[in-house]
Amino acid sequence: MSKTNMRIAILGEADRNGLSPDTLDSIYRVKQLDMGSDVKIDLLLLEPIKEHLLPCDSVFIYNQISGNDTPRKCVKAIEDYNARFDASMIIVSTRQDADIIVPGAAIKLKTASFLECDSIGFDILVNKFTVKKSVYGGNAMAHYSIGKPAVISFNHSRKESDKLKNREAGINFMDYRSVCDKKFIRKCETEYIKEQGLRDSDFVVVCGKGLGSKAAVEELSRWAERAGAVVGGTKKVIDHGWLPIHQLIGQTGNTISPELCLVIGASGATPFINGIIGSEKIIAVNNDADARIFDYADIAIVEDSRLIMAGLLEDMQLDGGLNAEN
Amino acid sequence: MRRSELTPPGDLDFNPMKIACILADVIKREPDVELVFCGRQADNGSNGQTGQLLAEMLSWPCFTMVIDIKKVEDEYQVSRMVDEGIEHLYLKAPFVITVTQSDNKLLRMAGLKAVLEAKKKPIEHLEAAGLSDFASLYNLEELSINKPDKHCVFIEDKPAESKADQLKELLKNRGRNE
Repeated sequence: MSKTNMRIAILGEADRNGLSPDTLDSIYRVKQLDMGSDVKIDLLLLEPIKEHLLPCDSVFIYNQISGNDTPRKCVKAIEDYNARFDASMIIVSTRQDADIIVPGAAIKLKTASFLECDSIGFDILVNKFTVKKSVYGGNAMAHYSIGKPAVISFNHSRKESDKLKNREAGINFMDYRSVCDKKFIRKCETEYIKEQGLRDSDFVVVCGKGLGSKAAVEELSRWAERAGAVVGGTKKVIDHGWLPIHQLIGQTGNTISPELCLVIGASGATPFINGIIGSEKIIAVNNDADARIFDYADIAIVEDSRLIMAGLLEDMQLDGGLNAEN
Repeated sequence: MRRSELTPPGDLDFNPMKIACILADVIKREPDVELVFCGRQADNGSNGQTGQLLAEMLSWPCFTMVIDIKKVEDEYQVSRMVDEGIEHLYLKAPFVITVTQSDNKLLRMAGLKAVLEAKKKPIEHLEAAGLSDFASLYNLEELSINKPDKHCVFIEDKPAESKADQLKELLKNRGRNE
């Protein structure tokens, strides 16, 4: 991998407010790399963006690819970009379908792919990228060195993109046409579920099996709503049907990074810990002082979860809860 | 139903590309296969992309986060989780799906009779081949254990009521112990 003229491409997403948080986070992580030389950051988008002041060097807009198969459109854009510029690394930061786009692009480019990487580095001595990724259900961290440019996506549980500085980025509309339709789908119906905002919330309450019943989870959810928190649950809570699947917190569900995470009645299985580890502050309630959750918590309350919950609910019944106090 | 065993050539941990190569080679030799189920992780090492790589190698579509599948006449009804909710797709085969857990549905366990009957069926041993030049794209340099570096403050040895009160104070201050 040559050190000169290195280009890192980030397939991003933008809305009317600008680049998505995951795209900004990916740019931030690339900017933190110590590569011993300048590196150009190119942003690949499927739609035009109004803003020209951006934290990257160039923007390449692939808006001439038509069709409803968005993952395939992304793969085509990556393929075309790489054929022109030969990227040193390609990062996919789309919120949806990164798990299809990353392997799909890697096969087309005949290179390696890594999903939900925890961090990326560059070894100046051997001129190779390194990637760290949680493995074995989050019980261990694998350290990979990559010989050829790879396609990766990040685990965005920690977002630190506030310090990014914008500059005038070169906008390039790419003359590349293609059609990507999902012909294999005969019909598609979407059952819309009210957005819980788990990933973006500042305060999340996580219900564990220690709460004991669906009724207790529902009561705590009502309290959480009044306290301005969003509710999630552990795998056991979901398995029991006490909360719907889209409220699952953990490696196979939502990974969250709120300012405050209150975990009630969860012991702290590794895949669950992976889902909350990005939280700024964790308060955990469990009746077992040796529970694994306390190894990762900032404040531990050793008590029966149901008794603590009763104390919280009492407040809500008396004076309208936290919102009233605040 | 056929029972087949595929003996992998060497260690396949942390290498979903190799696993997908081997499976793709076998599936291409089986013209009747029209649907491949993979687990969401589907390999040792939590790479979570064996199914997607396999689909790309077969040039079949892939659907991830699948929570339900039914066959109705000549098409499959597949339900998968997406950001907005649940997508119900009506698909024609062939395709690959990667399945994840769904709420309130637990794995159906085989009964003793079915297990005994399955054991009587012959096992077909398949030759694993088809490893391509994907093999040496990266190296696993190290496996490390993550140790938490937090110093947890314990609130114990108090009545439950006073602990609940302390928690309320903490929540008002967004977790700051003031």
